[in-house]
Amino acid sequence: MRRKINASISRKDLRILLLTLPAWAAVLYAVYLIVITKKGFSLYDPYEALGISFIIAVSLIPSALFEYKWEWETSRAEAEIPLILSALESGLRAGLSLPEALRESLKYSKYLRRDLVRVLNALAAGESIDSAIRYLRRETPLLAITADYLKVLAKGGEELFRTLKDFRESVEVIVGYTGKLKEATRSFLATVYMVLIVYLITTAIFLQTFLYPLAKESEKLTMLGRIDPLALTSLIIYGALIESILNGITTSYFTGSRYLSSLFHALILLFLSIMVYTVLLFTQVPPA
Amino acid sequence: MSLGVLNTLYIGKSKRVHYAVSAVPAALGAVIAVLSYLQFLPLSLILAVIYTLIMVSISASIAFLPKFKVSSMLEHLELRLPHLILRLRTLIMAGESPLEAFLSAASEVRSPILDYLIKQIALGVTPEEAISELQRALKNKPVLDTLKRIVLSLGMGEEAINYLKEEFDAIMAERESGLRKAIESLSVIVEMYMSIGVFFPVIAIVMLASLSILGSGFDINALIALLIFVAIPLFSAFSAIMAKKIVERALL
Repeated sequence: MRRKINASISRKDLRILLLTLPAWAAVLYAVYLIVITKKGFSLYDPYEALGISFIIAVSLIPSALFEYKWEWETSRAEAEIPLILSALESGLRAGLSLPEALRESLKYSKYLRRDLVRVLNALAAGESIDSAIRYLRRETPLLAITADYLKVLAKGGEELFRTLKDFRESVEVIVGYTGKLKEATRSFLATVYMVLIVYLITTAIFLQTFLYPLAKESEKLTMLGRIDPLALTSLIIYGALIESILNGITTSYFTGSRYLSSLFHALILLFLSIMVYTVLLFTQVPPA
Repeated sequence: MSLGVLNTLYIGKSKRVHYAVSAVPAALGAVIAVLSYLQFLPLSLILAVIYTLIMVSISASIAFLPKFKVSSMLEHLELRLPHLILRLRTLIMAGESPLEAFLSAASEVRSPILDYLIKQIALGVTPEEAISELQRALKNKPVLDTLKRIVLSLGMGEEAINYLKEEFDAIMAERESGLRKAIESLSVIVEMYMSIGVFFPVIAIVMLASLSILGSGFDINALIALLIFVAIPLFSAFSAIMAKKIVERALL
């Protein structure tokens, strides 16, 4: 007989697990280098720096995608609350019952639709509205208030239905304000992309047209000091890795994101960096 | 005046114990400085001064921790005021008594200050008295004035709903003007972050690498590693904290 295993993980735990994934991946890579290849780990090896960057970028994908998806869904769900309330208001004015009006409002919801359908199914199964409302998400204060408002609405009579307009207007003010904040801080994201691209272009040109040729020349000219192009390339790659991730995280704060949704942009920047330095390292091998 | 909400923030729930404990690192720092000066410790004077400064800053951080926590609690309450009002209005409109509606709405906010108020009200203190007590203890912060107005409106009966709507509109208007100011401050921080966090490292790497060819007196790789692995993360963390502080004031 097959047993059904009920395994669930909270979003908070999943977030911690995913955010620590790059650290685990980097440790595993270091263990692979030291124990399996017996090569050891060198901070000044640009190929290892590229390897570490690639591993961190890949292990960051699930976290970046989930954070972006969660934040996107939450903000979209909040944005559609006024539309749902407006549809609900029209339905109730037309004389529909609350479940019927809720069913009508499904037309205007995409991100809350699944939750609303669950609520309606629970109501159809005979649950009270107080109990059925638990299926509505309560991730943000606004979503929680809306869920509570629906509970209150179910208890009230016609008098309470008149409060819907008032409540919808207040929710619209809050949703509109959140939108303004996002709009106002959007330019910061463009700036982050621009400066990191400047970092990549400047360092790539510097290495290819100045440092590598000079390193070859300095072998012949004894009056010049010795430079290690491999070590410098490696450090510049680590610099791009750190800049990409930190720029992503810092941008999250600059844009007022609730979570680290800008990790998604960090990931794009990171892959861009890996591409630039891979092309650089494999088209012009730095002098050892 | 000692308030329960504040006492829990001090080590050992006592102001005296808290300040005594916070003075320990500074005292240790002073001992290290004196021992180094008297040459009982093999530390150079500069290192001893650095250790002492670190210890003094640890002491100051511990001493000011309750103040930071109070300020963070007030910020959280300010952030949640529009939601509190919206919930309160909804519950009053649904026919709950204003006080019950306030207790229910306040418990949903999960703010230590509101939790304290709820506890005091449960003990029989009137909401007005409880807020006045908080105002005395927390030095009359504007958010507490707003909270007091909200609490006073509970006695207005039906009129409370209209008053709360006006208060909500006023808070949102204030928030919008705060948003404009926050964006201006953020622009400055973003420019600073880009200049010091990204452009400066690029220029520093290029300059140090170029100059190292001419001279061979210092370890260029260690210097660049320090810049990349220590300076950039530190500066990014500083910028992120500053940005968080500014944006949080404008968030909802």
